[in-house]
Order: sequence, then structure tokens, then C-alpha cells
Amino acid sequence: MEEVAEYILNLLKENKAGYCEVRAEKVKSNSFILKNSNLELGESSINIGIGARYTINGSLGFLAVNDFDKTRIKELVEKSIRLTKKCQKKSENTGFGESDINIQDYKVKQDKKIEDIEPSECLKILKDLDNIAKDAEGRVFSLYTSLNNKYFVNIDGSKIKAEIPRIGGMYLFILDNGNKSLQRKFDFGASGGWEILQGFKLNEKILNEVNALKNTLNRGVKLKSENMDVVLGSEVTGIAVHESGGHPYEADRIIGRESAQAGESFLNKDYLGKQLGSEKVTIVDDPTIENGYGYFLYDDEGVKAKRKFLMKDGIVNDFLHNRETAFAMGMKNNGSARASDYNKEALVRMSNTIMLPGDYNEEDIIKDVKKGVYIKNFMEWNIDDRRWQQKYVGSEAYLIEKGEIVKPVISPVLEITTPAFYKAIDAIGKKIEYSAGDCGKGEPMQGIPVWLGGPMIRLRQVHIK
Amino acid sequence: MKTLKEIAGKLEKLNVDEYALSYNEEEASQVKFANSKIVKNGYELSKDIGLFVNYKKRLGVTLIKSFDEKDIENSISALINFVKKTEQNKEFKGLSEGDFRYKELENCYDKKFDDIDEEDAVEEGINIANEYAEKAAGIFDKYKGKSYLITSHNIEGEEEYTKYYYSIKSIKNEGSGYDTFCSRIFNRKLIKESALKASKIANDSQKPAEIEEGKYDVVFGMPVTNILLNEIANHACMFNVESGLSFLAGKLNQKIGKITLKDDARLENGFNSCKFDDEGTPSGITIILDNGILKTYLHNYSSAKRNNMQNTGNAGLIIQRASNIVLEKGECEEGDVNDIENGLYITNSWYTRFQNYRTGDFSTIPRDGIFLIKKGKIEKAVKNIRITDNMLNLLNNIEKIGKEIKQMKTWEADIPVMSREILIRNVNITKPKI
Repeated sequence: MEEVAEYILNLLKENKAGYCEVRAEKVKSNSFILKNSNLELGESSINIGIGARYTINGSLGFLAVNDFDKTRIKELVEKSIRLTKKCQKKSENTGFGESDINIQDYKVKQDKKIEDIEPSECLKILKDLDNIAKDAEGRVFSLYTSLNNKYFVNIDGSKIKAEIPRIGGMYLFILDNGNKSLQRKFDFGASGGWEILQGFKLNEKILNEVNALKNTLNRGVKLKSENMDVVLGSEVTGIAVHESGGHPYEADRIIGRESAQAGESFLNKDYLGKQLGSEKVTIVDDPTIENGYGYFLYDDEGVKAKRKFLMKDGIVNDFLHNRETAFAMGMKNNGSARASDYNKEALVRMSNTIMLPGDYNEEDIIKDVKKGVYIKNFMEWNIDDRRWQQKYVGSEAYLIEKGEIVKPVISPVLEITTPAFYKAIDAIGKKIEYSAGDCGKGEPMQGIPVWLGGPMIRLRQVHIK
Repeated sequence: MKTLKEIAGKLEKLNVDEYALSYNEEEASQVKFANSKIVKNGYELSKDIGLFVNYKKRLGVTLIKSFDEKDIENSISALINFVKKTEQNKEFKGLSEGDFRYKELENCYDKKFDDIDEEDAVEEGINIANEYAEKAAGIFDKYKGKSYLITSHNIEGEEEYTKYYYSIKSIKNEGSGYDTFCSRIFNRKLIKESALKASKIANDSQKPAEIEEGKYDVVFGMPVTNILLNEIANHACMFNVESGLSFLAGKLNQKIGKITLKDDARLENGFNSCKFDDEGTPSGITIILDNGILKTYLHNYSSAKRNNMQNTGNAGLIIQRASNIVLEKGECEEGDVNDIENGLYITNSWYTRFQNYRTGDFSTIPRDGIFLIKKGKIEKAVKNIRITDNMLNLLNNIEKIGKEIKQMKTWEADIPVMSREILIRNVNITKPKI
């Protein structure tokens, strides 16, 4: 595979590509779906192929192939170049700017290798989880493991080899008391060996959540529409930070490159240095967090990964860039290029996006609320295509009165604009938690693993329905 | 086909009870544009073999992407070893059986495929947007491929296809408009029509204003109808119904509104038309809603047998899938959907998410042009709203459907739909207070 990658790079160089890079990937994965205690299916596959990206006089071409016959590859490269040259007259003058040359070989450490895990071991875990949730009428569980081996090489001389194992999955269940029903869905995931699965504490989590939903079904009340304090659990902070504290900072949205697909952003360069949130809020995107679901040390343009401060003390501080957007906006690249598969172009993507913890104990955040709602986790959410207004609907939630949790609340709705959300935050917890996401962007759609994280936070006097 | 037969021979020697083997080969190109410039072109050759096995009711699938004889051999033995270590699917009732003959599809292969100039097509759309709006973004995809299927029940099938997909968003000041189409035969006229429509919406929505939340009669533009019907099609799949995660569960033979909705896997020029499904059942037409009455769910052979229902030929071997959704008026009036006193025209939407799959409570966020309609005329553009409602309510409240029909799939809702504009009464619209 590496030799074929070098062959393609040389073909592109021979054809006078201004910039070119080749990414070869092999992903070995196993996955399982359990529906209402029944194993529906197991999948075991190896996805292998090579993608290359290049410019000719500023016209950007991408090609992908999983047939490694050199004659076929040569034909493909020639066809691709013909199309790229044809597109030149209407093309953006795409540039990749200067970049460091990196030659690296790194692997995520695994104490217990996922490739050694027997299917029966995965099934046992799923069956145990299913058993814990057996009072739920509808249940779907999934679990997958993947081992991604990547080889990246570009015209500048960078060569990166990476091996990243990941474990991920999802559970979704519905509880029904005859009159009404409530649902819960959660995605988990991390990079690392089999041992990381223990860290999710799924048995305990599912048991607690089933009991909480039963309690809500039996005792839950609907809130009136009014202003009150809102406490968000880590999981809700995480999704909010991802949607309105991460996506708007993606530079390809800002310059309009994803306009017809994942949308644009209300942010632009004029916002840099401006106060958008409370001074307590700092949001980072950090691919280097150990075991993060969105972990990598070098991005899909061979650029060294690092922590990016998107919002610092409430001030818009930086955007997420790849080489193309940094060049287009005259800013510094910060290594945020990712592709979901060998046959997809690397776009500007988040990795592990989190709100940094503050100095509050969780009990103190709630204790200082006269009347409010605590939304521990959520089901429904969405945000508009400029990331201006968003909605989160609680799954497990409670009414707070005089600093005490008094009773469960059914599906409280927080529908709010982005500045109002970040300005209302007055307390941030010490403890951070992560959930996983499969973030969608691009066309064809690229679902990419990310961590969404944050601590418990408190918003003062926002509208709740 | 020869390689598939060799693999089949190997599987039989390994005492596999049932198998379905498919080979797919595709050549795809893409031209993506933004800010009225081409920002990327893509070209891909792909081929793969999909293998499904039933080994003593233990089910497994694998995707083979490396075609060395040794790699194929390894993939097969790895899958069998893998499957042996899993558990039985106690609900599985087998793969489709029958002495099938497949009829050719109509207007599903474009002999002029190689002559279709992607760059030229994209340029035409951009020029129209530049003239009637300010700038444009979007995509043009072309696909040409062939596929073969053989199964353990002596089923053999093959087909060739061409496909096209185009989307355009035109932008002017704060306004934007979107349109899209997909097809099997290229029709240049559709590029022009889409670009003009998107540009008109962009022009008309330049200065959007805020409105109050509440109940509105809403005209769903075609892309919004596409989203609604994608959800209905997905919730009609038996996997979701059996999981207890469908708002259509338990509603068989009940009346839900007035429309007629079909899944037509043999639709002429239909983007997803095919001669057979993933287990070889010949494709056909399935009426899901007949004048509002839920007639069936979408089945493969196993789910139909398990539930004593008719196989609708919608395999997906585990999770069923719709082919091409066709909306017909049923008992609704067909005509001018804008003929309303006070309401909204929502041209596009995205980010559709459910609070409860079983009840159908959901929300979706309009994007691009949204308009307030007074006495049948557009009064002004509006912004920052959300449809927060229930799928069954929406279905029950569809009153009128437009005459114009267009085949489309959208970014988040990729089941192709023969879409129309529809008028839905009393739709709940919400928005943030701050």
C-alpha cells in the first residue's frame, strides 16, 4: 500500500502538480447489533484504499481507488488530471501555503489489543447491557472496534504513519408506562485498547438511566414556559459546545466552502478578539487528549496536532483551519484537517471539543439556584446552518427549588441563540466528562469520530419551555 | 460473476447454510463549487464484494475490497471463523427463495453518460446564479456502475446504472435559496431550472424579519417534503417497527391523513431503481399509505415471514430500506398550495431530530428562504424559526399538494423522493426568546 501511495505521488509530481498528497488507509473493523436481546448481525470487514489530493494551477483535484493495479491507477490519475485542468477556468485559486515537514510513526498504546478480542466477548458485554435495560420495551445496542492504519505522504516531504484503534457504540431504549413513553440514546467511544471500555461504566450508567426514566414517567411534571436558571449536565454542555462552540469556528464554513451542505457560520474574522460569552468560558479543540475519540497527533495533511483555544475567557480567539483555509484567510494553520475514509477529501473538522472546567463543586452549582431546572442529559437537539440558534430537549431532568432537586421534569426545552447561551453562563463545574459523536459534514457525508465534553454549567435566567 | 461463483463454491464447501454475494463496480466524479468558483473535483474508481452468510443461523457480513485470490480466501475464512463465535439470530427466517426472472428497468441507463461534461453543467448553474443572485455553492455528481448478485437459492442477477445528482444554493445578501434534483438520465434543462429557482428564493429572502412563534399553515417546499417523506419511509422499515422505535408501529390499517405514498423500486428514471433487492427479490411497487391508510411496512423476506406479511422486496438483509418514494394526492386536493390566508412558505430545512421515535415528536430547522404568506401572496421573508411538531400530526394535517413534481434527495435525507410542495395546516413553529 505504501509503495502504491508513493507511486501515485510520483505520478502527480510528473504531471506538474503544485501541491500533492497521498493517503493510504486500511481499517479493520468488527461490529455487532443487538435488538431486543436478539443478535441481529455481526460484521467483520477490512476497508482498504488510497486517496490523493493535488492542485494544478490552483485547481484542486481529488482521486480515490481501491484497485492497486498500476496500469489502472495511471489511467485514473490521467482522467482525474484531465478533469482538474478542465475545471481550471472556473476554479478557485486553491493554495496550501507553507508547512513544516514531519516524518513520524506513532501508535496508540493498547494494553489489551482490540484485534485479539473474540466476538463472544463483545457479545457478552452487549447482552449484559441489554439485560440491565430489560424493563425497556424497545432496545437497540451496538458495539464496534476498529483499527485504522494510515500512511500519509506529500510533496513537501512529510511522511506520517499512524495506527489508531477505536472502540465505540450506542444504546437506545424506550420506556413506556401505558400512557406515555420516554427515550434515551447515548453514544460512547474512545481511542485505545480494549481496556478503555471499562472507563465508560456502561452497566452503572444504563441502570441509573433506566431508573431515572421510570421515575420521570411516574412522577415527572411538564414545566411552564418561563425564565429561570438552568443547570446543564456534562453531556448537554458537551453537545452545546460541539454545535455552537465548535462548528461556527470551522474556517471552511466561514469562507463559504461548505455553504450548500453543512452550512456557514455567523462568525467571521471581525469577531476575533470580541467578547461573545461570559469570561468564565474557555472552549478548546484538542486532538491530543489521550484516549479521545477524536485523537490524532498529525492531521490528514501531515500537520502536527495541537490544542486550539477557540473561545478564551469568553472572547473569540481562533478558528479551526486546514492548510487550504489558512491560506485563503491569511491565518496560521492549526492542523484540523480530517477525512473519514481514504476516499474522502480532508476537511476542517473538530476532534475533541470541550469547555474547560471551572472551580465549582456540582453541589454548589445547584445549591445557589432558587428556581431552575437541571437538564442532566438530552434526546432531541438541533441548530441552524449558521449556528445562531439551537435547541436541546432534556431526557433526564429535574426541577430545582431553593437549591434542592425536588422532582423530575418531562422533556424541558432550551431554545436559545448562541451569544445568549454563552453570556448566561455564571458557574462551571470542576469535573469534566466526555461523550462520543459521529460528526457529519461534507458531501458525500463524512461521519467522523469526535469527543464532546465539558463540566456541569449554570446559565442564569434563560427561557425554558 | 466468475469470481462470485468461485466464492460461492468455497462457501458451499464450508457448509454455509445460506449466502448472498454481490459485486459492485463504480466510476464516480464530482465537481463541488462555492462562492461561484469550483473548489474541488473528485474522481473515484471503486469495486467491492459484499458477502452475507447464514451459518447455522449465525449471521455475518463482510466487505471485500482487495481482490487478490489470497485476500479473498482470507476474508472468507475470517468471516466464517468470526461468525462461528457469535450467536444465533433467533428471529432470522432465511433469504428470499424463488425462480425469479428480472424485468429490465426503463430509462435507467444513460448512453450519453461519457459525453456529459460536469464542468460545463456546473458553470451553467453558476452563471445563472451570478446573474440573478450574487453567488452560488453546490455539487454535481455523476455515477456509472454495474452490479451482480448471486445467492444460495440459485438467484443470479446483474444490472448497470448511471446516476446524476445536482444541488445549488444561491446567495444574495442575507438571503439564500436552494434547489436540487437527481436522476438516471441527464437532463440539462434541470440545471437551469434549479439555478433559477434557487436564485429567485435568494433574491426574495434578502431581508428576513423576525416573527412570533405559534401555529401556522405551512407550505412545505419540495426539499422539506423530501425530509418528511424520508422519515416516514425510514419509520416504515420493519427493523424500526420491531425495535419499538417507529411512530408507525401499531398503526397498520389505521388512517393517518389523506395522502397516498408508494415505494417504487422500478420507477422510470428513478435514482434508486433496481431490478432486484439485496437478496434477489424482484423489485416492485409497494403502497405504504393508501389514501392515508397504512397498508404495510417495508419488508425483506425474513421480516415478512416472521410477521406473516407480504415481502415488499426492500432488503437490506437486516435493516430494510426504501427505494424511490412517490407522493400522490390520495384524498388531498391537488392545486395551488399557496392559496392560504395567513401562513409560511418554508423552502428548505435540515437537522431533523426526534425527541421520541415512537410518538413521532421531533423538530427540524428551516434554512434558506422562509416567507410569510398573506392572502395567497408572499408578504416578506422571515428567519430564526423551527418546526417543532409531531410526525403523525403533520401527516394528518396535510391538506393540499402541488401539481409540480420533481425527483430529489437532499443532504441529510438521501432516499430519493418524487417530491411536491404540500400544504399542512396548524404546524407548530417555535423560536428562541433570546
